[in-house]
This record gives sequence, C-alpha cells and structure tokens, in this order.
Amino acid sequence: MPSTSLAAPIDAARAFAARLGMRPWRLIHTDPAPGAWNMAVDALLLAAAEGGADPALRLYAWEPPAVSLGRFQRPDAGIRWEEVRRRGWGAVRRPTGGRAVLHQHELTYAVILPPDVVAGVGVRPAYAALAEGLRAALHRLVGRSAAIGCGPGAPARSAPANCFARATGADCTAGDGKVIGSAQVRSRGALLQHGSLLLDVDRDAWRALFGDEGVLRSLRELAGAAVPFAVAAEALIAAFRATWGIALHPAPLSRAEHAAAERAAAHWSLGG
Amino acid sequence: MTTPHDLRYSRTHEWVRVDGTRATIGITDYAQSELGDLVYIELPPVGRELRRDAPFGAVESVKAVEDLYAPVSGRVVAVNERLLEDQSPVNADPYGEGWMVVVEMSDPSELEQLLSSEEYAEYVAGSTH
Repeated sequence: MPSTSLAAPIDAARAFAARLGMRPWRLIHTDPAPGAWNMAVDALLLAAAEGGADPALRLYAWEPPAVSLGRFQRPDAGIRWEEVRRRGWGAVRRPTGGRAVLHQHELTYAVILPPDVVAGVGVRPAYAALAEGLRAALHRLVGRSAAIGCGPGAPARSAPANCFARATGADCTAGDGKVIGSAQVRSRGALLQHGSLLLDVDRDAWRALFGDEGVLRSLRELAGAAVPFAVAAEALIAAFRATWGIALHPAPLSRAEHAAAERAAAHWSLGG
Repeated sequence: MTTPHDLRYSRTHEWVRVDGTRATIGITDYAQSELGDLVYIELPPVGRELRRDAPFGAVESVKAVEDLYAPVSGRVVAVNERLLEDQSPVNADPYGEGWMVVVEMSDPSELEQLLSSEEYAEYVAGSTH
C-alpha cells in the first residue's frame, strides 16, 4: 500500500470548514499563566468537547515563559535544559504532537471541536481548513500583499528538537520564516488544535535553548512594528468569524474549571 | 480503501484478526490514509490488560496525536516492536506488517459488537464528508 499524497483532500477540507459554523463557539480569554496550567485547561476543554460541549476558541499567553514538548518528544533530544532552569522558565508536555516550542512573546490559540463538528475529518484536511482562518488573520495583521503560506508540507520522521526549525503542513510561513506553528490531538472524535503566533522573537533565547534559532518569523518583523497581544487576538477572532461564519460568545472559565485545571496542572509539568 | 473480509472492525478504525482466543489488532487502511505518514507510535507492553473501548496506545502524524482504542478486552501477549522504530509498515501494509498488538481475549463475545467488512465500509462512507 503506497503512502498517501501530502495534498489535503479539498472536498474534505471544505466540508469540515462548512461544519465549523454549525454550532455557536465559546470564546475564552485566560490571563497569562504557567505552562502546566495552560496545558491542563486545553486538555480539560478537549475532554468537555468529547462529551459534546460547544466548539471553543481560547486565546492565551505564558507567564513565565516555558518550553513545551510534543506528546512523544524525548526530553533528551537537543534541548539545553540548563538554560531553561537558569532563566526560571517552565517545562511542560503538550497533549498534542510535534516538537519543542519556546512560548515567550506569543499569542497562543486553541481550537477545540466536538465530534459532530469534526465528523472524522482527516488530519490534513483539518489543518488545511483551519489554516484558512489563520491565513486570514495574518493578512489582517500584515496586509494581503504579504506572502503567507499555510500548509501543506512534509511531516518528518526525523526532525530537529525545535518545532520552528522547519515548517510542516500544520504551520504558517511568511517568506522564508515560520510565524505560526500548530499541532493537534484527537480524542474520542473531538479535536484540539493549538498553536503559537509569534508576536516577537528573542532569537538569543531560541539559540540558547536549541543551539539554533530555526526559521522564525515574528509578527513584529512582518508588520514592521510591534503588534500588541490584544490587536492580534482581535484580528484572529475577526478572521475566524469572517472565514467560517461562526458565532463567538465570550464565556470565561468557571470557578470549577479553574479549580480542575489547578488540580490537573502537575500532570503536564516536566519539572523544569 | 480496503477492508479485508476476514477481519472485524471498530468504529474507531481498528481492525481485529481472530485466531482462536487471540486477536491481532491494527488500524485500518482508512485510518492510516486519513492520518498520513506516521512519525511516532506508542504501544502497550506485553502483559498489559486492555479494556474494550479504552485507549491502549497512540499514534502521531503531521503533529497530530490520536489515541488507539482497544476493540476487545484482553491481555497483551505480543507487540510489534518494529513499529516503535519504523512506523512505515502501518501506512504501507496496515493489515499485514502494520499489526500492532496481539491480545488473549478475556471476553470473545465482544467480537459480536464489531463491524463486518461491509458494515465498516458503509460506516466510513456515511461518516466522512
């Protein structure tokens, strides 16, 4: 049986995109928080989606900065943990795949979808459909003339430790650099895709952590000026609304959800 | 998409080949196609007890992780450890070299809840868009 083409089935992507607007979405903003708590929240939202909760878009940031590893990534593969400890950064594992990311100056988005919206869509069509919203957000922020590319690309069985060392079908590039890196996890028919939109880049920090900064491109570099978190967030929300016709309703985490995330956070921590 | 007639199938896209009280388990051609080229796989150790419909491992492709769900309950008696280093057989030969685990079934009647080849093909056709 030959390996399948890397091109996303267009029909499946379009059908999935059409389903994105079939239910109202919950819009969740959380304050900058430690990485383990952030991962716990995303995992809890995925669990709720498995049970049929409405789709959700969560926007967040990381404080302190943290390194996250993909679900299967070995900790001993090319990451300078002594730098993480020296700087007081966090270290966490994501529920999603992929490679390590330094979460520092970024807008993190998380899209969480229940089974009736996902409806068994393949990995590549799902990335392709969601990439349309991400591309639209980038165009709002840096102009439509910007050369933005989102997926498809080649997954690698042998990849460097740094997620931003190369672009894959899950990512958005601008020119020769990667500006959004994303990853997914599926669980009982529900889907979580989260990703990092680089607002700015401390290239010294990336080099210190990975030995090489990879192919990073920040929104500040693309836009020619600093883009505040709030501006990027509004652009993402507006782009998702316009691209998929979705209704987004602000609905902060409840006290119970906050508490559940606090209890679950340790599970995602790598101990630094 | 192929669905061999001698296998049983779960709605989470695992297949089962029965040999007496033992069941060999893998993921279907449809599943490997929708996932794309696998880059990681996580499988249980020999001796692990699997419970029907509970996760028993996971796979990753294009930075997307997906759990594997046990189609039947039982104790793992063999694991295709080659896949831990080389996941390509799952994409290239999902019903042959891509087998993942063999379990000693604890309740063979669970097989009755699985789908036939024709039922699985209909299920996939009806659930995809």
